Amino acid sequence: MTRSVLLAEDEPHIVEALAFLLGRAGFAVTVVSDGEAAVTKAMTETPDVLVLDVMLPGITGFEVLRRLRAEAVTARLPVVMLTAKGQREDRETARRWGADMFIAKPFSNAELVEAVTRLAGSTAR
Amino acid sequence: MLSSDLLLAVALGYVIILFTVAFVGDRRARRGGSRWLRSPLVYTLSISVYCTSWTFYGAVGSAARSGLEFVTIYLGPTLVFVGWWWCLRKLVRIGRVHRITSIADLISSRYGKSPSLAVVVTLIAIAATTPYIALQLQSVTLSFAAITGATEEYRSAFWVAAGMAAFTILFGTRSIDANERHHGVVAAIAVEAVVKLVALLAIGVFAVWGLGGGVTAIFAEMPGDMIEVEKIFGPRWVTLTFLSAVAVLCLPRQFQVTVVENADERHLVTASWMFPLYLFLMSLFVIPIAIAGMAFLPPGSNPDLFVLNLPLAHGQDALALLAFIGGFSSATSMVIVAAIALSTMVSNHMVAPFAIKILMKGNAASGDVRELLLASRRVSIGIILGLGYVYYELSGGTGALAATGLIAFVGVAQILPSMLGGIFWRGATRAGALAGLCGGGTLWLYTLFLPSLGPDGLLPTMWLIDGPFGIALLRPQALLGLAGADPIVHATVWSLGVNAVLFIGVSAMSRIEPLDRLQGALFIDVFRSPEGESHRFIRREAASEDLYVLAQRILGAGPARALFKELAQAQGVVRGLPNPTDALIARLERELSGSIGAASAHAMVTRAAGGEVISLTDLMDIADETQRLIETSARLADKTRELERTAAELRKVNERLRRLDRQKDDFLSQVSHELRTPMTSIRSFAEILRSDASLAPGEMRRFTSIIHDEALRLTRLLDEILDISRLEAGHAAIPLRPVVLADALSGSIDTVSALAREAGVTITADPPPRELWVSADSDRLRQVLINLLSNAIRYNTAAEPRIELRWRADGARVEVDVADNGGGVSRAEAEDIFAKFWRGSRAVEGQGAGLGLPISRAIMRRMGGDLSVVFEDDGTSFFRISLANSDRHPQRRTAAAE
Amino acid sequence: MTGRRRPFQREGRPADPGLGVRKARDAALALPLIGMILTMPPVAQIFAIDAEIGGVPVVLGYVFGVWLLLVIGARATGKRILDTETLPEPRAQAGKDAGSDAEA
Repeated sequence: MTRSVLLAEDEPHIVEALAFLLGRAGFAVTVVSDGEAAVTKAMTETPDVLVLDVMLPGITGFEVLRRLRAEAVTARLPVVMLTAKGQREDRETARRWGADMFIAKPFSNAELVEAVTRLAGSTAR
Repeated sequence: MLSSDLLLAVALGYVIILFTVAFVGDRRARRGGSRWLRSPLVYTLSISVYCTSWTFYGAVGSAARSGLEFVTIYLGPTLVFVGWWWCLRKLVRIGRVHRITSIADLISSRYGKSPSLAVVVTLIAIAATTPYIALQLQSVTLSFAAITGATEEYRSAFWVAAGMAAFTILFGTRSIDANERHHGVVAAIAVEAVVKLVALLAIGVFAVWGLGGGVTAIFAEMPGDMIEVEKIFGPRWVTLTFLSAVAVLCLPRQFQVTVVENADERHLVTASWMFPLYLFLMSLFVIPIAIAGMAFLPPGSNPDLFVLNLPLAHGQDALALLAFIGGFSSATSMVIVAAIALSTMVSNHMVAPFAIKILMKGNAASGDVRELLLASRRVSIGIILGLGYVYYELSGGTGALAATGLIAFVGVAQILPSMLGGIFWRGATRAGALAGLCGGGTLWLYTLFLPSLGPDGLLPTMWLIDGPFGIALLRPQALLGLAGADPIVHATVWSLGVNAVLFIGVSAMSRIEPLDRLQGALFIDVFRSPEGESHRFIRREAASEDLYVLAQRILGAGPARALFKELAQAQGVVRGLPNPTDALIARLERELSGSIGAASAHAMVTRAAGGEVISLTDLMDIADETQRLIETSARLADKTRELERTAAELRKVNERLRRLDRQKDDFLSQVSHELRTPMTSIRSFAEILRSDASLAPGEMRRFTSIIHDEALRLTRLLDEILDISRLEAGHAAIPLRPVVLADALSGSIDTVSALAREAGVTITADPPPRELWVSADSDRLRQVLINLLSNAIRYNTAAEPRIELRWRADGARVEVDVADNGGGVSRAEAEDIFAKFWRGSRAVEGQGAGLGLPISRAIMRRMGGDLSVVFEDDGTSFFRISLANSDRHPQRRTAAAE
Repeated sequence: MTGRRRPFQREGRPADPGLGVRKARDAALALPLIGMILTMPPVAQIFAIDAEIGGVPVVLGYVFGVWLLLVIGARATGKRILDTETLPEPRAQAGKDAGSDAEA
């Protein structure tokens, strides 16, 4: 069964790179470019993994995460957070809101794909 | 009617009781067992010597004649005592520190220990007290006559006066030292205070419940015109309240009991409420008794005798007797204390100066001055009471009690300006005090005292009616034609007015003598300067033997020996006399002044010690030390305030720095974010290219071009960041030159024309005349215009996108508007768009880092212009840049700028 | 509330010389001024009306009422000042004490 990844990111070039990488790794990739859409899609399509950028137009990635964790459907959805800031506070905030992984930009492709794959495997179990 | 024998017996019996009390009090005090004598209650009761027979009989009389007005006489003292913190506190402290023996001593001591001032105050006091004493004699004889039914007799007045003199001499002149208070007299006065209060309350209760049938019933009997509500609170009300307030401070006997006899300043705190309460109780039944008198006594009865006649007419002999004793008490206590106070003044200020002369001439025996002074006090007591008796005879005893009392009040009120000025005003001088006292005193004599003796008194009757020598303007009771005023108000205004004006005026014009200045500083700063530090300023030399002889002559052998022994011990001298230091001489002078007054003591010590040297510089330096202390503390307070202000400024600066620091952090964090975004794409695609050899050629081209674009974006971003940092830090100076606006506009449009064509945007411009110059940097201006135009092109989502460039020259300013039909920005966003890294809701992905507008605005502002968003009424908006209009002659402008 | 009152301190200032003292002093300074305003025209004039309360003329009740209030106020402030201020000890009877020393 093909695993699905929801990608919430607003930088078109980064979306392109991630879609290419995850597609090549065998994931079905859905892309949204703002926070509201990310929440809606995550709840309706229940992907195996959510890759979530912190700096999204509209509501931030943290807010998206908070809302998802508040819903039963997505309470345990594996989430990889991406941030361009990479500061420690962001890492702390992400952990507090219940992110499973936190990856700073610019990321290593291998590291990111490995993380998504691992998280996708955990849901399968 | 009671028989005169019985009455005499009762009076005699009462006097014997008083003698016993005084005797026992004195003995107990001497043995040291005088605790209750030194209680605040006894102190307060002794102050109630204020309530004389004028109060006991006269208040009712006054109430019957003028209604509520009598209250003023007790309201004034109430206010003074309730406000003891203002004035009484200071007087009592000064009295204690400077061993003040009387009010004349206070004034003289304050103004450089002036003997002449002391004499003037003494004379005024005697003149003012004489009618007052006459008043007491009158009341006693009146009451005696009323109760026995006999006619009023001067003979009885004489015996009363003689009896009082005997008592006063016996108990009031046992010692001459101010520190050794008259315990026996005070004890007797306290007993009398209780007796008169109880008596008046008893009469009041009898009048209200015995005769009137209750409170409501007695007030129902009140004549309609008794309390004339419209007229109560007039000038007389204010004047009388003021006068009584002054009297309780300045009357010699009040000064005696309040200041001189004060043993403990804390007693004043008790008296501050207890004495007003005493006055309150004394006044409580006055109106009801007056009503009862008018209702139940035959018409034409003397209202001054209602207190006595009410019980008498209703067969209450015992009560009448009590009333008589009460009135007798009021009269005697006043006379005794007044006589003591006045005799002290006379002996210290009028007799002692002569005594000094005698002493210095011959080689008189030890202690003879003391004996002489005691003798002079005894004689002066006799003289003072004699004067009262003479006044009583002269004035015929016809005046109402209250009116006579007020004459005394206005008289002693003359002391007020010098007294208040002395303890509160550094600029007050001896000459000023002397002028004020003489001027005010003379006017008082002329406008009030002499006319009070009646038409056949000392003033010719014609003077009263037509003025002296027919000069109407000088009529005693209508000076300068000020007719129609109440005599008391008239005299008060004139005498006190002239007094105060002279006091202040002459003080301001005259020089302050060194001793005057020193005493002034010590008096005014009495709460700050330690006791008796005057020796720090006065240098004197004397032989110890001379001083010892002097002390013996005035204090007597025993006390002098004791004093010198104590002084020697304090100096650590085991045998013989103490060393004659400045401190010792000052201390001796202080001790002596407690006996003979400051002026005489100063004169005597100066004679023994030779000429004194008051070091003027020291005095200036140190007498004003307290002043300096005040100034220092004021400066300190200023410093503190300044420090606080500095701290506040520092806090503000710190806050701003912190805010800037936060902004810098935010900026760096945003920069980091903005840089990481393109770098993420670059790294990611670079890794794909590196690791994946199986990429399709199209993909490979696509990815490399993305890397290229992002690299360019990165470069642009770095340029912008550097640009705005430089602009904001103010390092990038923008040299201003005259620029042809038309060129700047057309050049900018040319630059973006390709972009516009691609996006299908039409740009219309209204070209300004070539003569329109603006003050700017050509390249920077174009940068701003291009930024605005390209934003308008990029973010325009209209179906037929259009951009319009307008300009307007308005005097010194030139404005260029860049408007498009793409919807503009919302009002909420209007300022946000100028924030760094801000991306509007209309932002198109991947374009710009959000620094264009902030940079443009910074450029415009540094060129002396501005960039802003302007809103139309319909909600659409456009960008407007404004610039300074430049001169049409660029050369001259440039020259001027350089 | 005599139990609350502190005994006089013989030396030094009371433990709290700050606010309490200043308040007490202010009260002592203000009281006579209040009394003056209340008993002088024009304020007193307000109560100079020809009316009675319980048979007693209003003016009379007013004047004596203010008087009593002043007494009560003076008592209260005096108490507070005694609690907070340090007034000097009674003056020594120098001459007499010295005299008994000499005889001893």
